Amino acid sequence: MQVFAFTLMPWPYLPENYREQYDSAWVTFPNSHFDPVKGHALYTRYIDDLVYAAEAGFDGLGVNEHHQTAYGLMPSPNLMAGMLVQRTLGMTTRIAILGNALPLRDHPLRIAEEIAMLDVISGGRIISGFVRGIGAEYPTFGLNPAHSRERFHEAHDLIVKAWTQPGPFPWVGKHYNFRYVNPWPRPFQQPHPPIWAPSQGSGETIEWAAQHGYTYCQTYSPLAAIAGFFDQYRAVARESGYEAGPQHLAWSVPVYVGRTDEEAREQAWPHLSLFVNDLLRMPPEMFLPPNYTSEASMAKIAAAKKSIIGKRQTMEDMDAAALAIVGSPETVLRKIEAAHKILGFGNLVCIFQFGSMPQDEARANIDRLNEYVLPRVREFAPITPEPAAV
Amino acid sequence: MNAPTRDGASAPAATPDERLVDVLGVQSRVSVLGDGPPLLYLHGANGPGWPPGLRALAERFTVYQPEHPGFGTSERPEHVETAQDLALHYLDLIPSLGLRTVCLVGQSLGGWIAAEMATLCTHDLSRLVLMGAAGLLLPDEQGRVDLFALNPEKVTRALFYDQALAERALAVTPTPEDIHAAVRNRAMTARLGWSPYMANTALRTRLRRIRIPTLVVWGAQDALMPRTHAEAYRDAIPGASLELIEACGHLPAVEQPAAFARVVGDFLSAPLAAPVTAGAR
Repeated sequence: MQVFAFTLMPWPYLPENYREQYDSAWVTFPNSHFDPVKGHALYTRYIDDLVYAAEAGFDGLGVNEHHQTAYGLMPSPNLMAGMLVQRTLGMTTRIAILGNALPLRDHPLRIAEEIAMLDVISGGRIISGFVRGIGAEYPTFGLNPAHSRERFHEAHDLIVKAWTQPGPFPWVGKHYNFRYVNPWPRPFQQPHPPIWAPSQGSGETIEWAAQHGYTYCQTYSPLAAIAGFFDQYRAVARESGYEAGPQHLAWSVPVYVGRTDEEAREQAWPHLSLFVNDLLRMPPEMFLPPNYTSEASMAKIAAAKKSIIGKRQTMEDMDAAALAIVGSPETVLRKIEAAHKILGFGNLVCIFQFGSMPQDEARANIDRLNEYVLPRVREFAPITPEPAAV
Repeated sequence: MNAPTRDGASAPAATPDERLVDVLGVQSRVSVLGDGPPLLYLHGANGPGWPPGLRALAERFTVYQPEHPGFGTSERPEHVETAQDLALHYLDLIPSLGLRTVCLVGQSLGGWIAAEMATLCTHDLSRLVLMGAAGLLLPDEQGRVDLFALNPEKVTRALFYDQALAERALAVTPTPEDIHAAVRNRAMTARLGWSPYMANTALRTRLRRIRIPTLVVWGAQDALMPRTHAEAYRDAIPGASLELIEACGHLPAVEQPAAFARVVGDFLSAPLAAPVTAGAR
């Protein structure tokens, strides 16, 4: 098992009238609520905490991409990755970009270039996630969700070809056209950095990831739903002629370790609630804009996410569905082991800081994860090799 | 989805004739009603229907109402991505219907498509009516209603000046077929108009190419399509005039059927005063 430390880098300072005044922390929540001075302190702290986790012995660090939202302050994951690469030079820590939102870019070659730069500078420590971006991302750059999936596939095909085929070559596509594809530098890892496909459970994405042998990374969903998603991956892998292993599956979930169950819940809950009930809140029209996904998978996602997006969650709700793992070291370990038995993932992405969790609690969480959880997890699930591309 | 009538059941319950017309390989569903000179009516984002104003117009014209590709139960050919693609489709529909020259009336999304058609070619068009037409993007539109961000209830409320009509529309329990059609209508509308928002930025300049008599009709209290768009269409199309319908929101054929049928019918029937020339107002 590879264990990653991840924070969305949330903006926790919501105004008092937030719930009455605004229907979401995305797209329409005015950026006048962003205070650059507090922002400076937050970024500094979040980056320091990630480096702290790397030094503590986590296998990797995660960054991701979201736009126009207090939910997470990383519109450019590659910038974040660049800073973390420099702060972890000489270490083996992987930097997982979870991921670049391909369809939002008019110039996918820029992603090929940036990932190659990061991979070369880090000496081959980059994991390159590719995502479509959630529905709420689509008003940001005025991109029509109707073109999202075909742009995703075309950008992916172009980037991988740019990484693996000698240039220059021309690219003639529907959305992208280039006379010369010849990016410098080429990636450090051969044939290219591992590719991950983080998703909220879209059937098409799972199928695509399994067909390519890419690691499918499940963002927080109820455990029962994830079991179905991972089963689908394994089935498609079998149809594609290989057996999916733990290295092909990743689970991203908020984890908080306290001294006791009671203390853990008491400390984590206000921050979890802000995260899931306030920062993740959005109207269905924003979450699933027209044409963002096929009618079939729209219905599936709506069913799985209803519990998250639809109504206010309690600690008990989240606990019961394993939407977060909170408790004493023994409890957290037991829950991870139980989930591992059901899901068989080989990568655990711990969201160690969420909502308004302050630095001291986030670091105590890292310390306890490192002291009590990581060693035992590695016993029942040894580190697995990177998947080979199919 | 059939919009409710203002006064219950005044219109005669004539049944439209349903046809499937091959347009260069695309099967187009066309609903035909009435008697008189041919009139091609292009429906809005809510899909086709026969509101009382349109039925009244069918007493003076033979109204051909196609369902847009991708709407309702109509197929969406892969190549149809923009309002201009639909404009070409409908220019090709006219001869496919065996017609030579038609009056063209477009409502909302259909008005946008109609405007695109008239900028491309007016050989088969005699007169043009744009009603609550989408298609333009004007500066300083902050606060304009975003169809794709609103929930269906708020969209319905924004359609009407008389909120009693909105209440009546909201009280109707949709059938599964209605829901399926509404999802497809919304998806196709978003495909055409997500960004730039319900507009083709090249259209405004091209409007000067329109050389047929044109009437712009607008609900005076239209909350979905700002009045500035009506004025922009009037100002950009040579010789066009603007007719406002009072006590009316986005759907004149639903909310003011008599005024709609009179204003549109009279414009389409009036003898030509003089040929439209470039720069005429």
